[in-house]
Amino acid sequence: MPIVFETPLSRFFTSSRADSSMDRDLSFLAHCKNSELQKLCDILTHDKDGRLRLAERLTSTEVYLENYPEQMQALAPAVADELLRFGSNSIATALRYNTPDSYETVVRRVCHQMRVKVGKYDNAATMEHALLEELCESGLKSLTLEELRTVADQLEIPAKGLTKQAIAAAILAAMRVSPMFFRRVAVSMTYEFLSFVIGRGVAVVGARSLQRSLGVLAGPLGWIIIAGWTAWDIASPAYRVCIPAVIQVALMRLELQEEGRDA
Amino acid sequence: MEAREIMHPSDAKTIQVFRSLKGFDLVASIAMRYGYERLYRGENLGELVKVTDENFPEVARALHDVVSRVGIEEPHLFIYNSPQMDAYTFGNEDPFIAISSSMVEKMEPQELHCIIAHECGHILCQHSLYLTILRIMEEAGSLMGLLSDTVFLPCLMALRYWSRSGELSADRCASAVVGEETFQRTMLKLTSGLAEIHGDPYQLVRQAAEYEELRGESIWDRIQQAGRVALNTHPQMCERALEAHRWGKSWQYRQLRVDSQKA
Repeated sequence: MPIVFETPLSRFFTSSRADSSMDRDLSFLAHCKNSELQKLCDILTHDKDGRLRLAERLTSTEVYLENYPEQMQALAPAVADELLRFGSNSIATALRYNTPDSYETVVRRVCHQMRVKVGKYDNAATMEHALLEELCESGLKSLTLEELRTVADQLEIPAKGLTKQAIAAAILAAMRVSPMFFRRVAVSMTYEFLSFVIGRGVAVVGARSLQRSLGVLAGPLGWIIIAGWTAWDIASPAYRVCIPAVIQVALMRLELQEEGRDA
Repeated sequence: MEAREIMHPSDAKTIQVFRSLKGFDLVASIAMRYGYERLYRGENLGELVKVTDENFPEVARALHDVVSRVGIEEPHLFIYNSPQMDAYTFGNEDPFIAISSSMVEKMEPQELHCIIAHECGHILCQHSLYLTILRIMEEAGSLMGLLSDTVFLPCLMALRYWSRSGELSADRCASAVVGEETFQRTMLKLTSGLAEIHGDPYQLVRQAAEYEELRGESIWDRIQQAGRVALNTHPQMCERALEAHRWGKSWQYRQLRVDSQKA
């Protein structure tokens, strides 16, 4: 006879919010394809070498054990919760009785980190769109003329005799006019640049460490401040996880919207 | 079977950290090669009975069967004289398993498979290599008395925590080889020390629910219980039973069971 027992012994003080509610901007995840949800889940739980992330908490939960990788829709609330935790400051989350930031806040933070311009009142979907557009634009700029011609051919944009800048501009214009083009370019370009995005996140962390190490010279008061700063920094959003995760969510939203249009 | 398929997340993460520490692997393997491994090999040959196809055919058969399912090189198997039901494994380059006489007498053939599979799980995950560091610290601790306890206590607690996680990985291996029900029955026998068990094999899982209720009554209860087990090398029996039960619902377990039955 199966025994239902929800609380894992490994968690000492915390309890998961995953099963109770889901951020409204992420509720669409429950309707996404199994394979897409699995990709998102893997970004959150494993690094690019396939090793478990030290800060992940999903793989030891009951809901993960029961549903991964066959019934990912049932795992969607837990995946959403994990994404929000990675995108929030752990200390602030604990002070808010274990409630992470909203997805909108996390996307805004990611856009800020990626230097993507977003409006003060933009919603999560609009910010995701801006993020993808920025990624595609910088991606297209970095392609060679031959690569750009190949992309243009695939998108059936006539590019014969055009310069590199003109092809990139034509593709960007087509993307802005047609949601279908946008999706196709975003899907093909974004995965190419995920590693670039992760690398950039690491570089920023390195710069902060350098600034902080100078504080060691400031004596005992400086040490206390540095200790607090370090603790806060360690607890800060994990951009190398949440940037690719937000991009994956953006692509999934786009795909679902496209499917809705097709239907 | 691969180590990553059975490793408990806490165990996998701790081993990742060990591997990232410069020189840790080297120190452990040197200590293992020139110290403990040869020492124990001599002790085993001098004091224990080696299992062969001729002298203990049933035990040897169990070893062959388990090893073929787990997919490791066959370790040496020894039996030692003890009224306590116990077993252990050690070694990195030439590992061995030792089982107490009481275990051989009291366990049914499938339960003996379970015990051997648990030890093979340790070999598969290379736990012995890292366990060497724990041993060095413990032995250095007993030589230096209280001072070393003060110095090493935080490290010792961390290593014991990992040791407990490692047991959960080995339990997963056993569960995958013999099936969860046999695993639970073996746990009951190990806990009670009795040769025959009647009734519900999931008794320990039910007890775990009761234990969790007790532990969750207040923060003081949690601290008290965590303190009680902080220096244990093995998780509590009810925790092991519960973790195996939770993992028994996973896709990974089902896949490994299918593979194990094919082998």
